[in-house]
Amino acid sequence: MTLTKDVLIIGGGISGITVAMELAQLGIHSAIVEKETSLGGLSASFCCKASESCNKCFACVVDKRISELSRYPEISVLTQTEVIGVKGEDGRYSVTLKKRKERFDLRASAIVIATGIDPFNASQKVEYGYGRYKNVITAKELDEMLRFKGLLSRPSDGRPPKTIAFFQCVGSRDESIGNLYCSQVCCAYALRLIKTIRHQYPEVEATFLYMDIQPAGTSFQEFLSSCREDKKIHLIRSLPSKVYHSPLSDKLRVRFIDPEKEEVVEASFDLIVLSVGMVLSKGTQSLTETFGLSLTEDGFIAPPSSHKGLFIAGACSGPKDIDRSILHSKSTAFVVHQFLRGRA
Amino acid sequence: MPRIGILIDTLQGSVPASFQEKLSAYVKEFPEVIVCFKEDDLNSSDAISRINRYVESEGFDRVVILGGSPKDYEISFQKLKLSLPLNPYLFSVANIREQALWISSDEEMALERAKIIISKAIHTVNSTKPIPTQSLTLNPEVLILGGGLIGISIALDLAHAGIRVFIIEKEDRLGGKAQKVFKWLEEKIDEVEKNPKITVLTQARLKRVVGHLGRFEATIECPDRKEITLAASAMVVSTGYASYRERKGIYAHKRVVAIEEMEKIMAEASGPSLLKEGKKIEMVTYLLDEVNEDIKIDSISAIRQSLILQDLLGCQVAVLCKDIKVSSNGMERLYRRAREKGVLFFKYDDPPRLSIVDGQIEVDLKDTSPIQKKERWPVSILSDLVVIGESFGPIPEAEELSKVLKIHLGPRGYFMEDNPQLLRVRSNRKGIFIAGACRFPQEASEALIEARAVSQEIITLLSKGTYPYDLAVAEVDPKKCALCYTCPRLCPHSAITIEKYGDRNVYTTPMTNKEMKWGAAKVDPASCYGCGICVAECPAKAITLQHLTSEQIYAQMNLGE
Repeated sequence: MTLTKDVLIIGGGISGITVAMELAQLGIHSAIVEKETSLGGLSASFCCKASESCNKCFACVVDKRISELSRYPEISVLTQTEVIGVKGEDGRYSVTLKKRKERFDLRASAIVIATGIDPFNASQKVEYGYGRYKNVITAKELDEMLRFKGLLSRPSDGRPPKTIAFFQCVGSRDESIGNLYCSQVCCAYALRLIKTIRHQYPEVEATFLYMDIQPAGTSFQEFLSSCREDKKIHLIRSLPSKVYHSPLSDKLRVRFIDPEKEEVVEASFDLIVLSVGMVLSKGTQSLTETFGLSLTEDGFIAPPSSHKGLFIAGACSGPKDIDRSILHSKSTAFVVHQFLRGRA
Repeated sequence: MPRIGILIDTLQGSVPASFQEKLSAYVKEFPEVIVCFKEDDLNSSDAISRINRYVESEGFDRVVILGGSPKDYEISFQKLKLSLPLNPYLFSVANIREQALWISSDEEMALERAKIIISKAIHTVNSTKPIPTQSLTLNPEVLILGGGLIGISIALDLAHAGIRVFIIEKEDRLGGKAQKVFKWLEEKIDEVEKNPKITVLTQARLKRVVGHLGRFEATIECPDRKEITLAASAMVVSTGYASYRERKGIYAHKRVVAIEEMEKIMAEASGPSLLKEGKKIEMVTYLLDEVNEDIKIDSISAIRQSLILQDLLGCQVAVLCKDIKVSSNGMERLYRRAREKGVLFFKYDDPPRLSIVDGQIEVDLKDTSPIQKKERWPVSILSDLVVIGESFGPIPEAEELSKVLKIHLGPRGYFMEDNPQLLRVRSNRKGIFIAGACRFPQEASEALIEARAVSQEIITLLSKGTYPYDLAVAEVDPKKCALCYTCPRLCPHSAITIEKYGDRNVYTTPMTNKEMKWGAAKVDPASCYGCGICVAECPAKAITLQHLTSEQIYAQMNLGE
């Protein structure tokens, strides 16, 4: 079996979907290859982070785009499908795909790689006890808890936590694990999570432990000041080095510098949330080898040197939030369109 | 009298047969209903072709579906590329599954619910008129306001895609603020000037804009006070930002310079050291985050400059900031390299104090990093040069321009997108796009991605040559319009203007019996989003939504007749 499409898009997250929809509006047929059973990728697991008003987390956009996708007959979606190999070059590609046990070829003039990112594996930061202590979770797990369970609870006993600490830069800006880059989204992401939790559970006290707060666009300053005004959100510039567990009280103890007392303090928390950074998604490494692409020194896909019909969209080219992934994908769609026009 | 055909979608048998019988008995009580069919799966292509045949053979002109969610039908009809041979507005769905069957286990109660829903749906289609679809010709012509980095980049993108572009630039040459920073911009300017598809008007000012999407007419004032009018299908606002350099008090001192000036001083440096007035500069202090706390440009420039100063020009550099902003590709590595080279970074909470000591500037700050309180001695840095950031803001013309273009400004005076999530680079008016620093100052690489996204949006809009729209929008009855200007002020998309309709708004004055023509509010159907704000607010009730008239709303509330 051989399919023929104008464009093959690898990865059905928000970036892949955006590229496909932008191209469809220009009458270009594409196929989205997604290895999971459904579209949306990482961005589809995020919850709405509104408090009194929208905090511009863009999670709703993903759901909306996925539901709109079925309106485009130009787009075919191949789920549970993986790329096995590629033949050809310069805009004449034949890609071998595998869906469960079935193998087939797809011919395309252009290929867009939009495989996205994975959250950093927090168990690599052994000192934070992720994987050992049940109440140390990643921000993504907290996000999924809020989205799919709809309530905030401690994994150890299911009780609602009273005090939560957020550790920033887990897997980012960290020489000890070799990730010398800022993941760019986690500050705003964690603060939005805090804000929405504070709105839904006003009794919860949140501590945000950080190095530097990275700005995030137009209305971030107002958002940050509203976090600073909240007496139950503590923004503290100090990253703890280790998490201790008290088995009797089932609390987690952490030491950090308290700016008010101006000394090292020890505090205990019911729940610790690790703001994990971004790393290139699993499987993308082998994909870059298949397509002969190189990685940047930070481990993301470097832009292809010449335009031969291979394009990169979204966060696999470097950390991006949903907003910037959409913009980047739109700009990629433009370049793909120009490339196809130039060939016609 | 309308002739209604009823289609009962049994949803693959999930509607019980007895229930179906009762429904079909009920609908036959309506005099307008001429026929009632059952289908097992309406979302299949076979079913749709059967319906098409029914419409022809039975001669009904309106359809009511009794079945599941209207959204399911909408999506599947669109996907199967099937359309009923009827205007889409003569078609209504009574969702008897979610709204009746699923809310009650008692079949009698469900039937009562279903009857109410069905009678509303029948009343609704009864009072509907067909709404036609129209289309607007879009010429491939785009007007770009502002010929800076973003304007140039969009102009070249569009010109390559075959679109005619006009650039309006207020200065006497293209390039804007970026020409000082990026040397490669010269080549791009050259490319723009040589491109036959691009016309550049320098020292020009936008005076007036009339018309809507596809038919904008912009009046431009040229340097010789001559006015020209340009037609454009779409417009891009890329007017950039303004910067303000603080010069009060010590900031006026010659040893205090802005980051931009520092760029110039460094470019002029020859040899292994930096000289100012013949004296070697040894200590340079960057004082950041006093302005632009939420913009990372200053942090990035300071780290880049400090590396060169420290490494090549023999200076000792200190960077004072609230937060080091490295959320940009490659910046963390540069920051680390700067630290390895010996650049000192201090983070402060309270603003540092500047004072003049023997012609040099002493910067005093309380460093927040030491752990012990007693170690928190104030740090003083005797500096030869203090580099400060310029504060960024919207351009002074922003307010005037927003009035001319009728687009919205955000709370801080920058141009604002209509909906940051869904319509990111679009303004509140169809056909006007916003890109770059006029929306919010950001790093050039990010702004260029945004620029290309605008190019993509414009190509998508203009590629088909026409813009189809249906008339399911607000319409003013000119005879009832009292010209109170309520609606043009309220319209969030600036789709309403005051115009003369011709013979439709002739007014006979009671005393003289003289016929007068006057203006009335007019909604541009292609620009209207159909939100209904004007309909609700019009004191004279002169405006109706074509797809949701008062009668239809009353019918849905069972207040009809």
